[in-house]
Amino acid sequence: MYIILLVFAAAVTALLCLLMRSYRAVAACALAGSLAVFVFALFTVAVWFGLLPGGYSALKFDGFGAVILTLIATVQLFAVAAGIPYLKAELEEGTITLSQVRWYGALIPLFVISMAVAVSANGLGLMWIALEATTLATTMLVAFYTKGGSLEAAWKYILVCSAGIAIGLIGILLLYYAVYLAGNGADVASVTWTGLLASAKTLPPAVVKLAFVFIFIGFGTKVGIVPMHTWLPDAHGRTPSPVSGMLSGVLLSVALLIIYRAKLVVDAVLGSSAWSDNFFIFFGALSVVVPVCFMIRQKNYKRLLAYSSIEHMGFAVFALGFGPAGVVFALIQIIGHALLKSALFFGTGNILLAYKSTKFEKVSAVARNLPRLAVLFTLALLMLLAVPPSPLFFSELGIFSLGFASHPYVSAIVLLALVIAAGSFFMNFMPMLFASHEHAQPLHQDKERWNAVHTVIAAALTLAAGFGIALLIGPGGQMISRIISIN
Amino acid sequence: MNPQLYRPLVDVLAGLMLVSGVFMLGRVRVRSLLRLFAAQSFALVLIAASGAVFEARWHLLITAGLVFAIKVVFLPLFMVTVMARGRVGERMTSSMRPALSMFIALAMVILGFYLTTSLIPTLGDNFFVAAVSISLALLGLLMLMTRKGLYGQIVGFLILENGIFTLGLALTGGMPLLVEVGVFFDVTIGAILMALLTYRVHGETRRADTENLETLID
Amino acid sequence: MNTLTSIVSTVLMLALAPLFIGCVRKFKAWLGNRRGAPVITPYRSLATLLRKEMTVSEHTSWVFRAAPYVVLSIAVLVAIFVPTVFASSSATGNLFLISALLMVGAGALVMGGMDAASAFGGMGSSREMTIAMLTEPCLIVVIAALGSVTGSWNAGGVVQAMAGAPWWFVHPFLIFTFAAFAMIVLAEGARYPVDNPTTHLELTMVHEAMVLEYSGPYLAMLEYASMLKFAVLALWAANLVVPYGILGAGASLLSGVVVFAAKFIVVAFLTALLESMVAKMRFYRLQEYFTTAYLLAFFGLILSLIF
Repeated sequence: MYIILLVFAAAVTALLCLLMRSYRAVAACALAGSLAVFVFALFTVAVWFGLLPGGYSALKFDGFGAVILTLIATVQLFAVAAGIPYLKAELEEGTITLSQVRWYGALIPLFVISMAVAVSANGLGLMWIALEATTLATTMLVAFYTKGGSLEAAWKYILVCSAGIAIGLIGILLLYYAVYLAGNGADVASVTWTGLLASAKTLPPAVVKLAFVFIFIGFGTKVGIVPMHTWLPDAHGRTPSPVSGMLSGVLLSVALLIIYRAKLVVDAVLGSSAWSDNFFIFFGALSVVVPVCFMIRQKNYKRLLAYSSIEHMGFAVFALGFGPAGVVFALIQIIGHALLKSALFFGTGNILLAYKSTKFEKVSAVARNLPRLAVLFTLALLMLLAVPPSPLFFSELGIFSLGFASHPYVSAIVLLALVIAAGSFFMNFMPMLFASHEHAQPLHQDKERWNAVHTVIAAALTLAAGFGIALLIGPGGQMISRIISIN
Repeated sequence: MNPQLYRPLVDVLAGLMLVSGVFMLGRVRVRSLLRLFAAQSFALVLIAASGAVFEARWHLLITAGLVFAIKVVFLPLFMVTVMARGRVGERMTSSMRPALSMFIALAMVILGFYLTTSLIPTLGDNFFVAAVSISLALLGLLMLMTRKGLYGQIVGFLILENGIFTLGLALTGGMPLLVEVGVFFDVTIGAILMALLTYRVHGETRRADTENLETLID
Repeated sequence: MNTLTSIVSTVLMLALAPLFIGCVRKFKAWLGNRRGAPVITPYRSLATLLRKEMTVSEHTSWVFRAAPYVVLSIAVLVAIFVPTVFASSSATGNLFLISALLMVGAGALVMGGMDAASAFGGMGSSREMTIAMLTEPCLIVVIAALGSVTGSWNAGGVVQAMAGAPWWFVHPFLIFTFAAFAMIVLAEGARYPVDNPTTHLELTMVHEAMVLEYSGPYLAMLEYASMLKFAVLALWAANLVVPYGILGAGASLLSGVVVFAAKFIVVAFLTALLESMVAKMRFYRLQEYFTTAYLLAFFGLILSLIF
């Protein structure tokens, strides 16, 4: 029942945030609500893993989903905490109004609800509704600043994602149809992931294959798989930084989880994963290579991080094409990326507040002006580039060891792209952090104070490093493969 | 009623939906576009209602009622109202000449039929409706991609949805009622959000097309 | 028997064509909340024209005087070949022959319009030629689809085949062909949205511009030919879409007459409904209209070849 409590707590938070009259009250309310969501999510996951009594058949039981739900809970807590000083500063500057803050406080819990439901719903229909609801809840957050660029980003976001998810609906309809053809007419009323897996042998392969293609293209839009990624840099570049962190860290992973479940179904129907693996390897490699071309000469640091998100999710998609071992590494990749990329996005919020620009050319000497942030930001950057003990080091090492064995040429291209991506990160971020230009100084020279953003980044770094060390000394890898095997 | 008439009735109605979709591709005035969209949605209402009457799936009547209330009446009226309040010009351009987009539409429809024939050998009687609705969804996608006017893009999205709904009715005889209501809710909110965004874009740039929405490229 | 029925039904059609136009006008008036002129007005105006003196410009040649005869005789021939009341499968009603006749009629009218060398005649002729050129390929494609589906290249044969196995059961994709056919009928009949049959505004008229120089009995012949052509084509379309109650295609005399009357009224009403809903298109946008028609016809043809 904890998931119901989670939804309830988030809904109450959304309502309360709209009613509060001062910034402090909204902030306190949002933080309390997000803590409650965090706790209930952990309880839900504990029940999933059998650590607590309870159980409910209406939910989807699998380890992958449980990990994603934990990530949602963690990142949303971080994002709300990091948002408090960020929005306060913008409110004091007059960039936004209190009513906008209230809406922000209300939309974040709705976004969290829709993601949690999309992850844990067993029925495909409910899952689709929740996934579309994530788009609707975040559109207003993307359009938060109501300026030309934000509106353009929001327009592209809602249009491209809604169309993509609608195409995914065709895939789901075809799965319904497959169940209908399989003959047990009563089952049509409730097509569930578990039901599909259980009756996989009776489903007609042709229909399920077509369904998978539609689901892959449709929900792939939401993951940011390459030909359908056009909305992603705009949306991530234009939202308030805490929301960018959530979009990049967890929303993409939620959509990827759905595609992974569809892959499990089609693999069970076909009896082997050879057919679907090709999709993942091809589109994964494409999604690593193409964004790198946009990263080299990128002028905007939030967009650079957004393109890097496409690249990382592409790498996770690539990893899913390599059988059960690949799934383990993909999950490690997703965890590391969610923690580190959201931390980096929270950090960009502070830089934006100090320099009033998201252009590299307008920002320099962050290390001198914002020393604490610069240290944390550099550490997060290095870990995102898979410097050990980053978990990404293990995932990338593992995937390449699998990849070079079976697909050496594709793997070599992907590796080259990753090297170029790392190079573009150094080339663009190091001058911003450590060089100094006359025309690129902060607008006001207050001494930097430690605030919630720093705490959050430090916490995320600690979690990521701890996870990396756990992988290094052994139990982490086993743990992940045990988690994956729970179905 | 003669149960034999159900299949041809649905076939003809679905065919009319596709014909109206083809007509919509060439329309430049938002009002006539919306009128055609309402007519197309009305055909969808009739399909759902005939499913309810002929096959005794009475929950489809609720679906039909929802489609009528939302797609035939509410959304067109809402968009016209928003448009009037924003004083948006009626004419919407496309990035493609109408004749060219028509021929691409032909290719799309053939692709839709091809996808249906080659991959679903099990459809039997449902073949025509399924093929038409997939083609209609592709037409909507084409319109969504090639229109410059924001209202044109919204209508493209709604045509895509109409195609998918028809497909759902053809394949499974309608999804569970709760799911259908939820899907409807999402689509409606989505269309409302899009219209409101258009209103804001217009307030910001004095235009309701993508001319001023092409700054984010690199 | 067949010959007799054929003659009787053609005569019936010849007699009823002005009534059809009168009905369309009446319904259109009703839809616009007006009382409208009596349905027999077209007969009266034709009679008036026949009584009037004829003024022929001295700059005209024999072409001007020949054109009304050619146009009228072609309209009558089309009325004989096209199955409206009665469907006969004799070889005379070849589909391509009908399409060619329509083109010859248009050509004769264009010649007559240009012969007087007035500005309007030339303008109307050039427009008419453009429209005819755009209509022709659509009509050919429609005919090809009908022929390949039914296996008959005869107008009566097609209708008989349709009556044997209604298209909505066996060939639902013909809906695209019929949509295109309806658009062509509107263009051939010089109705909305291609042409405005009542206008005398120089910017918009096509058919009226060509016949502007004609008066008296010649004008009556041209007007009557135009009415006849539209009525015949519209009822042909109705017979294809609803292939019931056609003499010679499985209907008894009584049901044939009743269903014909019903179709007559319904088609007139639908035309009026359409004309009160759509606006006339700008001439330069007509190519879009015909592209749509061609596209739909082509799509119907492709599907008829595949399935």
